[in-house]
Amino acid sequence: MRERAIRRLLPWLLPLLLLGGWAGVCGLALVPDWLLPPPSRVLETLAVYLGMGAENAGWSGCFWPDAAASLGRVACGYALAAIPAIPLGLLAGRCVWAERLLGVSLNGIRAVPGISWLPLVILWCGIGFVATVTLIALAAFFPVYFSAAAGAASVPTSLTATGRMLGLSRAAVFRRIVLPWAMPQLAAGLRVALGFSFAYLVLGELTGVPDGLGARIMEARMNGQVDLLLCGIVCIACLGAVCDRGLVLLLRRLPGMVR
Amino acid sequence: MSLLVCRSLRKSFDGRLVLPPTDLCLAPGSLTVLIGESGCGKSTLLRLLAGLLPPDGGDVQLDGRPCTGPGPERLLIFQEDTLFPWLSVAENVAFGLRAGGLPAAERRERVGSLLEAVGLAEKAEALPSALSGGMRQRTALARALALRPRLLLLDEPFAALDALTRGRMQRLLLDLRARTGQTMLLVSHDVEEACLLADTVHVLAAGRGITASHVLPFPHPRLPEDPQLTEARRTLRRMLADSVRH
Repeated sequence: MRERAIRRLLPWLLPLLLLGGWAGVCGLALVPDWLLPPPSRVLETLAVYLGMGAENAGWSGCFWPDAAASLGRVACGYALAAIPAIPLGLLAGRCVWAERLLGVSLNGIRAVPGISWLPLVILWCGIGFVATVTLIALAAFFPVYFSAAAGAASVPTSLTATGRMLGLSRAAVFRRIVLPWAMPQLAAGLRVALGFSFAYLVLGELTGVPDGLGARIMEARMNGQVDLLLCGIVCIACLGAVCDRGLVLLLRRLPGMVR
Repeated sequence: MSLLVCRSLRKSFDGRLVLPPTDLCLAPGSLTVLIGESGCGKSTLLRLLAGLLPPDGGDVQLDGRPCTGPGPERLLIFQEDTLFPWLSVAENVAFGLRAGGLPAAERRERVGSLLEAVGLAEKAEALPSALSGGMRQRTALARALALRPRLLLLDEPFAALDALTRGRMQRLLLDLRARTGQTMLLVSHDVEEACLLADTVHVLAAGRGITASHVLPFPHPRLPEDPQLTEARRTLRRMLADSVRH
């Protein structure tokens, strides 16, 4: 009972400590409030941003369209990355020729920092939806690809041999043994990729798109509204955590995840 | 008539001859043990017989028909854990039956009776991670027997188990064989195990194939202190030492 309560409270411990430290720093006036407003003010700003506050700012209630725009971009970029990365990674993990064909090139491209792509993406795609989605897709592709490849490559030979002896065709071995075996590693890659997607979403939206959480953060910075800027950061963190939770719940239903 | 006949079966890896041309015949219902030092080609021979490796030469015939590639009529049980960790014990045992398209009712019945036979009926819904090493090997044995293979190949299946569990597994193997008449070929490096289980023991020497054979015509269960078994043990140790010395 006590252990269960501790387990439930544990995830909230770090955010609460952070909040306490933040409130303490502001309360003791260690940092000027134009640089770091107190949590209470950020909370008030958040209420307005969510459309629940009394204040009528230009951005009142804008959280919902901003979140919808940002989530739409994340969903498109993430799907654009995961859909080719999963089969290519699994193929590279099982086929030495595919690995030799793709491995060196993809490892090289992976080493390029995301920020380096930004000027090229803006040049090619302009500023807006396509550029942001392209950046997200570039960032999300690699963790999914490499985790799928590592997962597929780690299947013990004795397991696939057992599958063949038990009467499975090569395709069925792939579907019923390789895929479930690789699933935990692939799931870890999908989660990392989702985190990267949110990071690159903000990078993409900082370039001057009209809506989205990143755009709101950029606007807040230009207007010196640190409370709104922090509010945007908190919103992204919460959205990221909710999406990750949703992904974990979805992945748990897939074969190979419970063992 | 022999159930399995292999003639001049040979295999090299990277130009190194692991198994020189080897002949082997197995009678239906027999339990044959292959012993030999590490790296003498015991496991390679089993994999060739299971169709998991293509031979460089020679052929394998089961019931007079040539065998190519793996199939449910020749099942190999590995030393390492080969249960599918995301499937329950019952699902693991039913895996091959499902792949073979056996109707669900018949599948359930066969899985149930096999789990009873290996003493895992109460663990049917457990995942392999909740099982001990011995239980996992019992599940692998049940999974193989579920398909009623013509030949069961066992590659040091009890090597990773503690002495008590190993003894229990050896008795279970003999019990299952007595009940089903299953033909088995078991690889071991343990002379004691060979003496307790085998009808015939073949000694395999590195680079030379089968160098000696010994028939053990004693009934089961065998007691380790039986003088006949003591003599057989001595003979096998001598044959094994000779195979290494040459």
